[in-house]
Amino acid sequence: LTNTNITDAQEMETIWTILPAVILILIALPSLRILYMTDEINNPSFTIKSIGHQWYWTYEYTDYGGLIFNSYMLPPLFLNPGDLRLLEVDNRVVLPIEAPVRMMITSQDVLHSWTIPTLGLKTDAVPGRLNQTMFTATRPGVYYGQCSEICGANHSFMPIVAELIP
Amino acid sequence: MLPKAAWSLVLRKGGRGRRGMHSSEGTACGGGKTPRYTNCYAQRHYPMPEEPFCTELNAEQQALKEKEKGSWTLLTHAEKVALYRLQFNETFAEMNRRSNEWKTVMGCVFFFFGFAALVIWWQRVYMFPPKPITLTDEWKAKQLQRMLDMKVNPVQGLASHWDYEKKQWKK
Repeated sequence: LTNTNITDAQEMETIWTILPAVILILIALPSLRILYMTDEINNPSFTIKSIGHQWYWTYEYTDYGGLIFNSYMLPPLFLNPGDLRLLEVDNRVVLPIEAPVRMMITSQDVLHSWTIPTLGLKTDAVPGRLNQTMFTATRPGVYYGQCSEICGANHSFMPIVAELIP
Repeated sequence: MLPKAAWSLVLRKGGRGRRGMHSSEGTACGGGKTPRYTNCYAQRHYPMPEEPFCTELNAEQQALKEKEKGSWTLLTHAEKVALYRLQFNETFAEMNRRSNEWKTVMGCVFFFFGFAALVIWWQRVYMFPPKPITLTDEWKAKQLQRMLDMKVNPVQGLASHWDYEKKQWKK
């Protein structure tokens, strides 16, 4: 580290710091622009609010009238034969297929995350903030997901079940 | 064999254990001097210590040292060996000798494997709660049938591997 061939190169060091920084900025700005351009314009026909609590979800359908209900996990003793343990709920979120749906997700107390992996959805439920996710499902069926942000003792026991009907 | 080896470290003729005895009895130096710290002895990574191994020489050894000052071709083989032993604690071959310590280490490792296995077995028998009903074969079969009926993951996942016409798994 004391070889005179590798000391005192201030000019070169300045250039090889500034130049890559400029190059990276030139790459980053168009990249960010394109990132936001890939966000689709959805025009949702349906808006549902999903509110996370410890340790259940509340769904509000307020577009056409006021339907609000809670969705608790079914304990293993309450399952029907063939049900999936830790995934079934008492009230499922019923949604239409082939219609753009907007989910507004928030939380009442601590952080949660509303997830349905097969639909490619994961949105954090942040208290005091409304997060939005939009999707258009194409296949009818029952889709399962689990809370994806640690939220206390029963974090593993507040699943999300969406029933998509034609 | 192991207890005998262990006891031999503790007991010795004369009643005191060999381990913990720090006299230089039995070495080329003769007794009577407390030994230096180990970093003064020659070691593989420090082969040329500053001080010789024996500093208190009896008359015979002193005479030999005087003879060393002359021509070395006059020294017999035995004298050269004696001079080496005065200078150094051990030869390279002795210093680098292997030991049987690995057998002890492996034995202890396997012993603790066995102990851990016993602990795990005990936990399984006395501590674990009963398995949930959903893990029985019957329930799993119904679950699988339900998932196939729902056509779960029909593109690349579970339902894509099931042939719905022939009602069997695709080959």
